[in-house]
Amino acid sequence: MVLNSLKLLFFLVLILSTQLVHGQLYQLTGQVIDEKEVPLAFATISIDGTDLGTVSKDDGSFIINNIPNNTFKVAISFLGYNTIHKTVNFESSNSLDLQIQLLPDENQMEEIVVTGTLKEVNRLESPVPVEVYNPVFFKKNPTPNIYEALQNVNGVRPQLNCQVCNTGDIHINGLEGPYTMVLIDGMPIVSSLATVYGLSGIPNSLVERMEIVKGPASSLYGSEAIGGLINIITKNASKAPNLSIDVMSTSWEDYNIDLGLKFQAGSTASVLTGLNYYNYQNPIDNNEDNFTDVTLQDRISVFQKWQFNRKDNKLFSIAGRYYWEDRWGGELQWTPEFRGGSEIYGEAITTERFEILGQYELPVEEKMMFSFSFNDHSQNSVYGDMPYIGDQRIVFGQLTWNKEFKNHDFLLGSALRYTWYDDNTPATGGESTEVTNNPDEICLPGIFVQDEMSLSDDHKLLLGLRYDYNDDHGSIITPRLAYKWSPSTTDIIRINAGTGFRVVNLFTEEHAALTGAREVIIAEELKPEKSYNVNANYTKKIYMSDGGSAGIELSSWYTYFTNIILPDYELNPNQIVYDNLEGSAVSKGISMNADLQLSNGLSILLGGTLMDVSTEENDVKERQILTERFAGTWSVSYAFLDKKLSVDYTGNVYGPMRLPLLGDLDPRPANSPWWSIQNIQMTYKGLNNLEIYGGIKNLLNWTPWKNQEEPIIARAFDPFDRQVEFDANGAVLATADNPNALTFDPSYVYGPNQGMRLFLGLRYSLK
Amino acid sequence: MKQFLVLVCMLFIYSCGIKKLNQQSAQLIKSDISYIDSLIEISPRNTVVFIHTEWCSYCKNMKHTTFRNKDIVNTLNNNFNFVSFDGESEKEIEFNGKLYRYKASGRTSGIHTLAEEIGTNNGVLNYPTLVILDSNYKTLFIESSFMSAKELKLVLQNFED
Repeated sequence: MVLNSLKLLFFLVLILSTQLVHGQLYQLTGQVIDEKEVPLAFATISIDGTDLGTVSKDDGSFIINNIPNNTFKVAISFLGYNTIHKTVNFESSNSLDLQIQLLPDENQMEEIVVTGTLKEVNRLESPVPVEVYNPVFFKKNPTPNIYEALQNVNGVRPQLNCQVCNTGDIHINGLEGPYTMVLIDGMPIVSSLATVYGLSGIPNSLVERMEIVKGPASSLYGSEAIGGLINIITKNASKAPNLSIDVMSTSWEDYNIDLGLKFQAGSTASVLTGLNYYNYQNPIDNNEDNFTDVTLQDRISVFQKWQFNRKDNKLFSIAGRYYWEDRWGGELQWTPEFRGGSEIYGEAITTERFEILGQYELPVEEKMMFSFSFNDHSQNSVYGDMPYIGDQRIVFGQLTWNKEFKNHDFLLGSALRYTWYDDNTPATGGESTEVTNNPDEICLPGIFVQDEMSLSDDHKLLLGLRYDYNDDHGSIITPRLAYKWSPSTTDIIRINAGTGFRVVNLFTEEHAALTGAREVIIAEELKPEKSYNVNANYTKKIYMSDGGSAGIELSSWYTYFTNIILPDYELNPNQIVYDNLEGSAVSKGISMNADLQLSNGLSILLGGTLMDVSTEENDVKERQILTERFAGTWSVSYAFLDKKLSVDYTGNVYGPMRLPLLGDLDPRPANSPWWSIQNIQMTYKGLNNLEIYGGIKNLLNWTPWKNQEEPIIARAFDPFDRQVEFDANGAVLATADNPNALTFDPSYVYGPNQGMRLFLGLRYSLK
Repeated sequence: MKQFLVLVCMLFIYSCGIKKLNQQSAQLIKSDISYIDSLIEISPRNTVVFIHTEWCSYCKNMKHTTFRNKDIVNTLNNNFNFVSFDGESEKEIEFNGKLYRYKASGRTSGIHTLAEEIGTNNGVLNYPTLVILDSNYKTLFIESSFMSAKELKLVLQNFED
């Protein structure tokens, strides 16, 4: 019985296999021509689901033999042309001749630029973990400025500090804005007073990439790089399109225009010009507190970069930027004639700034680079009837020498940063409202050395040391150690340890904007802040043979601040008190980033950060204000119809944060709820050099004011505190008119006031 | 801090495992771009130049998939000279008797003029770019995009010596 079955099986197998061996084989021949019917050489012809295929010859002809099926799909493609997919059926004959015409794809070149330089979540090879984001990443949820765009980056949160004037700062891993250093082309021209302004007004079309370092980087960058670093790299002329225009508007009637232009100044230089104009002049008050929900803004920024061609190919570039902005927020009936008055409340800020930055490679054999920058930032503002007029100038120069010696890569440098600051507050001299009285000056020379050693192919060690000198604080030494180990070409492990410092200069922070309605008190002489950090990082990349890839990255960090200067909002509701913290502060946490990119056009990015930021003073441990325990970001993109149409779904989610209250009687919630902002976008690229995009922002229509009964702005009806009674110590008294003992307070802010809205934009680019 | 150390230890133990798993078999014979002139002189075959950068993820992908494909490795080893060329390399390179060097555009960014010379396709240089040159330095083929093993195989068939 068993034998019979076996015989039968054998017989069946035999029949089947002969069928396979003697199965009919077909031959496909043909010719590929272009739109002018000229033969196309090197076009690829491949048969789906098999290894069969060929490339057309000079006369456009091709032959594919040994095709096993009589019906199959064939794909004909050539760079710069639309791919043709064709179903072929050998009906009776066993050979077929095809004439295939390929038509040029006007958008293909653009597509390749995007994919060819795609580095959305690419980590540089350096022992120090650097996250690199390029404009493709930020286009998934287009925003009028880089500040807002950072909401898409895991572990980074743009935090608005003022409901009325909408200024804000950037929190990296839960740390306050002043701990984040912002650089343009590696130069510290955007110091704290101007962080918000530095990140708006740089046209997206001019940004080559943005590098983010989480953790201190003072050993290379000096003061301020204590918590994290954002470095914006501007495009160089060779990579920019000849002309690019990006226009966007939303249903709130705001308009953003980005213009990029490139030209050659003879053979001496190539010149890149960028212009950004943003305008929002439509007061909206959806939460009905008679205050503008979003600050009205009028902004222009012009950028120009000259890159000179030198005989020895060495670098010389000079860039300049001019920035002007006028913004106001406040009671709806406010008009410019009420500026600075005590009749109708408004916060109006006019900012003007100039920047010059350049890089010059010395004409010597060695690789030596001189970088320099200068900027002048002047702000003329009123918060209600309080004027604030400030002017800040920063001069920066740095000379670096890069030397490779055996397995060592040395970097030696010296830097000098001079900051000049003056305003109309008593802090820079007297009660006078004159701007120039007793300006604050900080001179900060420093030298640094770094050695990146390749111990073997897989092991790299980086050692760095920096010495800075400051009149107030004396010598400041910042060491750094970084170790990178690549157990395989797709795995990287990094261990970093280092310190950061910040020369405290409260009056160059945007506290005036932040404090709007409060007075700033400095309790004692402030010491420099120092941080000690260790972090570990692991990345894994998986590559698929069709071009797809997947990656995961895990990080954990521990940062310890010995002297942290935190504004105290709670001591007195009308003051913000700055004080040396006798104690310590700790930021620790873990974060994960995962990405998946498939060749079928699907791309997914997920990020999550768990963190615990706390301060400890006199043995009392407290969670830091406005810091979430969990934050997540994501984006899901899919491109279809030959990648001409794409959909992006982006979002973020934040866990509860402790919020700044005015006192025990403040009825507003002490913690924010879980909240999430989600957006959807569609982009169509099927037109000549033109891209249309549009979608919905804040799909969930979520705003803080919809989720709490108490008004977000305390006592919005009495912005000058006319009906508030104070006791002899300045504390607010609870009265019949003011049962919760509040004052006017616009600084209770953690999420956007804007609900669901539509946006639409156009991008035009000419290579 | 404790959790942090535990995590670090775990990472190291895990990675020791990976190290063992990653021993490759068939090796692609790569030549340094600096020796391209002597390479072509000694071995006057068609030369495949793969222009890439450290940061380009599609280039990395090709290194890990396309250039590890057995058939591709065999074809390249047997019938071509293969040169892997970092387009942002800072070496001076002699090519067809002419000297090319790195052109900086920032402290850490720049481009090699040879990459510009041979890799510019339709007016722009994108990464990755694959160029096939004959022994007279004439460009036979150029493509600037990711190429899977299958696609590259079809191309190479036409230029085998």
